Amino acid sequence: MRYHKRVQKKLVTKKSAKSHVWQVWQCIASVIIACIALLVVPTLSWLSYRKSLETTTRVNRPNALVIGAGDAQSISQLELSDVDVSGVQKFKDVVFCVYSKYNISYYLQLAHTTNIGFTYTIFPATMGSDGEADTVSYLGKEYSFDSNKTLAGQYINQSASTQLAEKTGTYHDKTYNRLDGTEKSYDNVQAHAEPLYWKTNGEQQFNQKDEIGDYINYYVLRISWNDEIWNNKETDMVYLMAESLITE
Amino acid sequence: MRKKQTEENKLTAEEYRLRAKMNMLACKNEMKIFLFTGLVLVTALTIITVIAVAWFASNREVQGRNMMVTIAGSSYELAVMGEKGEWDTDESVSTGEEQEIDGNNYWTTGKDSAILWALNDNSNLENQKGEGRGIEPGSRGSMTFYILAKTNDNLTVNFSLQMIGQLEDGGKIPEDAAELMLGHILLFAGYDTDNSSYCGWISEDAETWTMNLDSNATLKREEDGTLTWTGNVENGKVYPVTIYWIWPDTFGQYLFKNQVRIGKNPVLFPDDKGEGIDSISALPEGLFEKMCQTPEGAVSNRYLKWSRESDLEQEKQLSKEEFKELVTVEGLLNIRNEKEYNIAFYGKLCNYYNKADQYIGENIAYVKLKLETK
Repeated sequence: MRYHKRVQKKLVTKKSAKSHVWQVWQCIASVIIACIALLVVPTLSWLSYRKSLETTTRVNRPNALVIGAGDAQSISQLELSDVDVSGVQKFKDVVFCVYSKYNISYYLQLAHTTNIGFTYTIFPATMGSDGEADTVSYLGKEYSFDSNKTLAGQYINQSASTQLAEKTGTYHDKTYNRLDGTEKSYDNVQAHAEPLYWKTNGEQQFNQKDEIGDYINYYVLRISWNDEIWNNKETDMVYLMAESLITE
Repeated sequence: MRKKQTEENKLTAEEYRLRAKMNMLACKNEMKIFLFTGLVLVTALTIITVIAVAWFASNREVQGRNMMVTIAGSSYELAVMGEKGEWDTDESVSTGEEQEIDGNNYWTTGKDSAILWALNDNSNLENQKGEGRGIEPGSRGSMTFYILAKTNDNLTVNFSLQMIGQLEDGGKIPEDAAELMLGHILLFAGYDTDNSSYCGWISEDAETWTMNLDSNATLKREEDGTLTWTGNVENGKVYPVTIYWIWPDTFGQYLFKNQVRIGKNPVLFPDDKGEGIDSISALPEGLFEKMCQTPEGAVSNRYLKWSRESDLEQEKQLSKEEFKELVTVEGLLNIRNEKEYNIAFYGKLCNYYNKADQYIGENIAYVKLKLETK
C-alpha cells in the first residue's frame, strides 16, 4: 500500500511540476506578444500620418441660355421639317422660347439658307390668349402676339441688290473660314447656299419667370411665302441662336 | 525480477480511482490557468485594437482625443489663408488652428489633420459664403495652400489631389459622370499669364514633369501620379503652392496651341513634345488616343460623349459607329496643326464635348476638391 502511494505521489508531483512550468511560459509569452503589438501599431499609424485640405462647390449645368420649343420644352419638338405651301394660309407659325436660370440679357440671332424663298419673321409673344391679339396654339398651349409688332432686328449680311447673302466681305470670310488670307478662299459658293444672318438690334431682357422659376421669353417664328413658291422638295437650313455676352 | 515488475504495474481498483481523481484535478487546474492567461490575452488584444482604430480614425476627422497616444511631431503642417466656402458645412472637417505667421493670418493643420481649404478672391470656385453660384464651363481660378515647415534644411512633401463628385442628397454619382468630371474639370500647377496658357497638368492622363517654384522649391509630378514638393526650408516659415483649376468652355482649348480660334479662352497644352521643349506645357503623349476611345457599353469616354442615355439602342450604336469613324488621332492632330482644318469636323467635336458638359451639369450636384499629403 505504502509503496503504491509513493508511486502515485511521485506521478502527481511530476505532472504538476511540468504543467506549472508550461503555464508560466504561456503567461510570459502572452505578455510579450501584447507588448510587441502595443509598440508596433502606433509606429505604423505614425508612419501613415496624413494631412488633408478640402473644399466643396456646386456644379452647374453649362447652358446658361437654353432655346426650347413652346413652353420650355425640348427643342427637338420644334417641328419645321415639312412645310406644305399649297394651302390657303400663306404662313406657318411655330413658337419657341429662350430661358435661363439667370437673368441675363442676350442677342437673338437667326441664320438661314435661301433655297426656298421663305420669309422669316419673329414676333415676341406671351403665354395665354388675349382676345384682341393674334393667337397661335402650339404643343398644347396658347400664345398671343401682335402681328404688327415684329422683333426689332435686321439682316447683317444681306446684299441690297439680290436680297441674298453677300458673296464677299467679313461674313463671307467668317463663314468660309478665311481668317488670315493665306487659306483657300471659297469664291464660288452657290448664292442660295450661303446663309443670311439676322440679329436683334439690341439685347433682349427677360421680363417674366415660368412656373419652375426660370426666366423665360416666348417668340413666334412665322415662315411665310407668296404665290411664287410651290412644293418642290427644296431644303433650307435654319439656325436659331441666343447669345449672351457675359463679361469676365 | 519479473514478479516485482508485474507487481508494480498492477494497480488495484482503489489506486486507479485515486489516479483518475488526481488527473482530473490536474486538468481542472490547467483549465483555470489557461482561462486566466487567455482572458489576459483577450483583454490586451481588445485594448490594442481599440487604440489602433481610434488612432486611424482620428487621422481623418476631428474627434475627442481622450484616449489618444500622442505622436511625435511632424516635420511640416499645411496652412491656408481666407474664408470658408458656402457649401463647406461638413461639421466633421474643422477650419483649423488660427496662427499668425509673418504678419498674415493662417489656418493650419496640427491639432486637426484634416481642415477646410479656405478660399480667397482668386479661387473663383463661386462658393463664397453668401454668394455661392457654383461652377460651370468657362469657370476657372486658383487655390493656394502653404507648407509650414517645422524643421530646417531639406523637406519633401508628397501629396495628391482628388475630385469627388456628389449628388444633391450626398449620394454617389454615376461612374461615367465621374470619368467625365476628371476629363472636364482640370487641375494644373502653373499658368502663364502672358500667353494665357497652362502648364504642369495634374491628372491620371498627364506625364511626368518638374517645375521650379518661386520659393526656391521644386514641384514634380512622379510616374505614379503623386506630386512631390521639395525645398530647403526654415522652421516656422510658410512656402506657398498654387494649384490652378479650369473647366474649359470649348473643346478647342484642348486642341489648339494658341488662342486664334478660341478667343479669350486660355490654352491648355500650348506646346508639342520635342527637342528642347519642356514637357511641362506639352500635349501629353497618348491623350488624343484616349479621346478617341469607345469603351464597351459606354456612351462616353473621359472627354467626349456621343449619345444620350435616353437614346434607343440602335441610335446609340449608330452614334458610336459615327464617332469611331470620325474621331481619330490623325484627325485631332490635323486640327492641332491646322492642316486641312475642317470646320464641320471641329464643330462635331465641340458638340461631343458640349454634350459631355451638359451630362456633367445634370448628373453632378457638388464637387469636392481634396488635397491629401502622404
